[in-house]
Amino acid sequence: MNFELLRWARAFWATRAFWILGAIVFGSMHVGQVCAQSPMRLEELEQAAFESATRFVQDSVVQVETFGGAELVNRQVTSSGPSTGTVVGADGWIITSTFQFKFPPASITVVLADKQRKTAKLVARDFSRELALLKIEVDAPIKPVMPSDRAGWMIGQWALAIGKTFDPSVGSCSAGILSAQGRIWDKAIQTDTKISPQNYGGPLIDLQGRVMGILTPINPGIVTEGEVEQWYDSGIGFAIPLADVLERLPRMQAGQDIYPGKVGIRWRGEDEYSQPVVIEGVTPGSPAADGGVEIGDRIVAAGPSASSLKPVANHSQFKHAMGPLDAGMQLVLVVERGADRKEFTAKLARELPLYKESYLGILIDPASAANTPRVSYIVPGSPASGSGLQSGWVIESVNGIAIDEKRSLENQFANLNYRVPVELGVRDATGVASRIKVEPSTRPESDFEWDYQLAVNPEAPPSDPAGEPAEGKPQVGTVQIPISDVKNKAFAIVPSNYSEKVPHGLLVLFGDAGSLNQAQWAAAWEPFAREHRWIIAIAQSSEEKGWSFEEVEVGMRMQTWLARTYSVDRRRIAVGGFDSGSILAYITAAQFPELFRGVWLSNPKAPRGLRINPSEPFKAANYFVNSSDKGVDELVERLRKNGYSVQRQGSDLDSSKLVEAPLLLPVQRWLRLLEAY
Amino acid sequence: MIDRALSLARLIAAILIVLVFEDPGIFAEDKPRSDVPLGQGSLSGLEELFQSAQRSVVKLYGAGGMRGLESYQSGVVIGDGNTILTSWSTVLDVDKVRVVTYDGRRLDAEVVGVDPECELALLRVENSKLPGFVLEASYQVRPGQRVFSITNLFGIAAGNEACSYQKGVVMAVSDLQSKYTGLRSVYRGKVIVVDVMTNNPGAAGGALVDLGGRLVGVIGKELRDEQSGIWLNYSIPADVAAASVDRILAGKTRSAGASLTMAKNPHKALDLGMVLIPNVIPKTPVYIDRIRKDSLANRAGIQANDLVLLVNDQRVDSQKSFEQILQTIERGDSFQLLLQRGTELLRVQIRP
Repeated sequence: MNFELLRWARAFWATRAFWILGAIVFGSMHVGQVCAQSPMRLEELEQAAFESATRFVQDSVVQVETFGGAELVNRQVTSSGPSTGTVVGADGWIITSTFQFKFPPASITVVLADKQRKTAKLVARDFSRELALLKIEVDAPIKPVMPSDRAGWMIGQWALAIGKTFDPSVGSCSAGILSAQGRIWDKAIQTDTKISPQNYGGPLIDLQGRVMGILTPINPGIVTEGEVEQWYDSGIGFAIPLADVLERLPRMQAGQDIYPGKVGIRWRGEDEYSQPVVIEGVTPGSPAADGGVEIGDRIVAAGPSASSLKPVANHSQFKHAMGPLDAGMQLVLVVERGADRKEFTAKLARELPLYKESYLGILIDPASAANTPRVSYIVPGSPASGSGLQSGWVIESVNGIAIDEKRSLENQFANLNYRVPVELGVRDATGVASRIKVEPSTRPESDFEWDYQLAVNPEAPPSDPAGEPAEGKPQVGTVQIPISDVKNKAFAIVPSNYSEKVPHGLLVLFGDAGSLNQAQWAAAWEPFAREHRWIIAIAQSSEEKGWSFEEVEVGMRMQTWLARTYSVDRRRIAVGGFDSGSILAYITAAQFPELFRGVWLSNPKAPRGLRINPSEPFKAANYFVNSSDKGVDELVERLRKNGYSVQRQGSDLDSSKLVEAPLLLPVQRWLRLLEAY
Repeated sequence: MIDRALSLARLIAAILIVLVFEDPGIFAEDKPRSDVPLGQGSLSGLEELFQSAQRSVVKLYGAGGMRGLESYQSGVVIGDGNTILTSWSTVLDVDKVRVVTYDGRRLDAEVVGVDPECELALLRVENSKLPGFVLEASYQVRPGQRVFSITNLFGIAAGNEACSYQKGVVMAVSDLQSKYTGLRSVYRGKVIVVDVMTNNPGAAGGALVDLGGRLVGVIGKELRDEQSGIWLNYSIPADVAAASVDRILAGKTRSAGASLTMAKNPHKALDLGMVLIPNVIPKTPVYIDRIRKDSLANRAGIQANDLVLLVNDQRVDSQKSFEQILQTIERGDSFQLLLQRGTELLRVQIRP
């Protein structure tokens, strides 16, 4: 019976479809006849519509000019010439783009449609959407724009981009279509009208002259700063839906800037369109951490409230759900934890609390399995040293969360909040389980005497030189590193007791300029390399006078070759540099923050505007900076303010007297401690 | 029953589709296309506009071909058909400019005269038998209006191949002067700005036509605001072009950049009594640090901490541009400043 009904319904709709099709065919014939009588009619009607829509809105569009204060970015003046604004409040509220306000101008003026010029005040900015709100004093009310209802929008419908840069009383018009909705993580609509600084801040209107959105320089972020002009008039332009602007208007009118909301969770994955969002890290003290989100939770829905959740099946969908949410707004997350489904609420933050890596002062035996990490050494004077923890014990849980493949010790420790005591579940050598409380600290920033020879790492494994194949066995001693296409020479000191069965630490150095004394380097580093299982690689600059920025890739190419050829411990990879090479070391570490756990800068000459990203779990390198130059203190301060631990030594390293250099031992102790938790 | 209804509907639909799409009479009218005025209720359409208008656009070949200078451009045939209006460029630096007509004929043209101010040139050919556009000053456009460009951009067309059409709308009709500080254009007058990339290599001198096929502008040279990176796609409007042609024919052209000539004895900020704040960044604002007693600035009512925004309605975005504009004003001439004092704007007149 039901089946019959279904068949009937289907047939009914099939017939309906044919009638509809028939109507379209008749309709198009009718259009055809109209065209036959006057083929220009459609074009003329469109033209009339463009003109009247432009006229309808143009009194609500204003010219915005700034005076002074621009700066050069990549030889391009960041703001030049006038831009456009849109009236959103009759008493003088004007929304424009942030394009002209990258650097504070000396003055902002607005020219109204009646050519009156007014000084304007920058009231607030929306850094998430690149919009700015201006206020002018008006003698009489000015005409605000009329919004277009987004429910009626269709992709492909006409859209006009209106600007005011040419003539303050006549709107400039570029005609195109609405290309897409939900762009830039669901913050913007897209149009193929010609968008440039000429109409940034102006409205994108429909053929009735109602405003769909405000044109902004926002873009998908695949270009770097200074290349924004590649998007000008490209046929790919973006506007923020007016409804979203008006929703935030009261906050902006109150002088509040708007920022993207941050939640403080991390996930990993290669394919953002197919992989589910499984949380791999929660920033300590972040909204997510306070809300109770845990590592291993799988996000299945997200939204600003329980009633407006978007389903999340992959990383891209999560970014779309997060995109429109500002700092201060509520985020509701629905996660699956094992068989349970849980809902969390968090208030999104503008900035996440500064992350600093927690430090307990324990070394883990690299031979122990990942799910049963065994303590091999406890650093004297460290937080763990008085806690009762003994070497040889196995750590089984961290704050009650059992250690397994996904929630490894490294993962869990990286997400610890150093301000809060941690409870370790441990099992001693006799098999007795207990719980130990440790108050972590941040990583030590000063050299201290500890007999790191005690922690020789590890015992030489049962080696059987005869059993290992001689062929294909990697070279030991001073090894030349093949780097093609570049003039640089590079070599590595591989310890004579190297074995593939033991992962080795790796220090990649941008050596001092000019030729290097390989024998001296080997003499200075071989004992450390042998005892603590390290490989030291040094490159030489191609020019005598120093390193140039073009040579920055040399470090990564050395690292790649060595990691492919030798057995390298992921947790013990460091990069360093001398003099001009130290900046290349810094840049290499900044480009691959997850790869390098240590950065050694010897006598660095850091440019003033060096960009430093705040540290994050797994991106919190430890620095060793030595220089007699007091000017380096500023760099050290900036690194510390961004959450990095820095060991500062006040002397220069004379690389011509490397063997007896007093700095050598502190550097080696620092390297030795890199792997410590 | 339902099945039969379906096949019937399908049949009707098929017939209708055949009727609509196979009958050429509905879409195209097969009749002679010449000498029929466009846009006057005739049966001509866009296709007719394209076919007709491109007969009055020619490809020009001359000097160049090195250092990024093209050796070709476009031209519009006007009036009697033997006069070609085009952009004044190095392409014309030859004895005879080679003209290739829409039907592939090659003619030689002589340069009759040039108007440096508008960067336009007039060429003459003999017995071309080409239809000419009417160059009429009253053919004006408004923002939002549909326009088409007809040019030989990038030298794509050769011989009897039709020039390229581009479709767009008029963005604005405006003066080039002073809007964008980074524009290096000799021509500073009124332009039609369109929202399509019309100004490409080889396009200069081409036609901008409206829906009626009327010549509303002559495509200008490539122009980019060097500071902002914006390309400006502009045409010289018909009224400006018509006046320019009249001047060329009457031999009364003016030299280029007359409006920007340096004054022989210009004003200087310091001589006016204005001491500015130190000029330290690329765009130091024109803040007055102090005003000298008994100076012109003092008499005009300028005070310390005032910010200069405009000089004679030209935007001053830095101390550099302030000096540049002052250099165009003779010391004996009076001029106007727009100042910002706090949130107030005030106009003052400097009277030497």
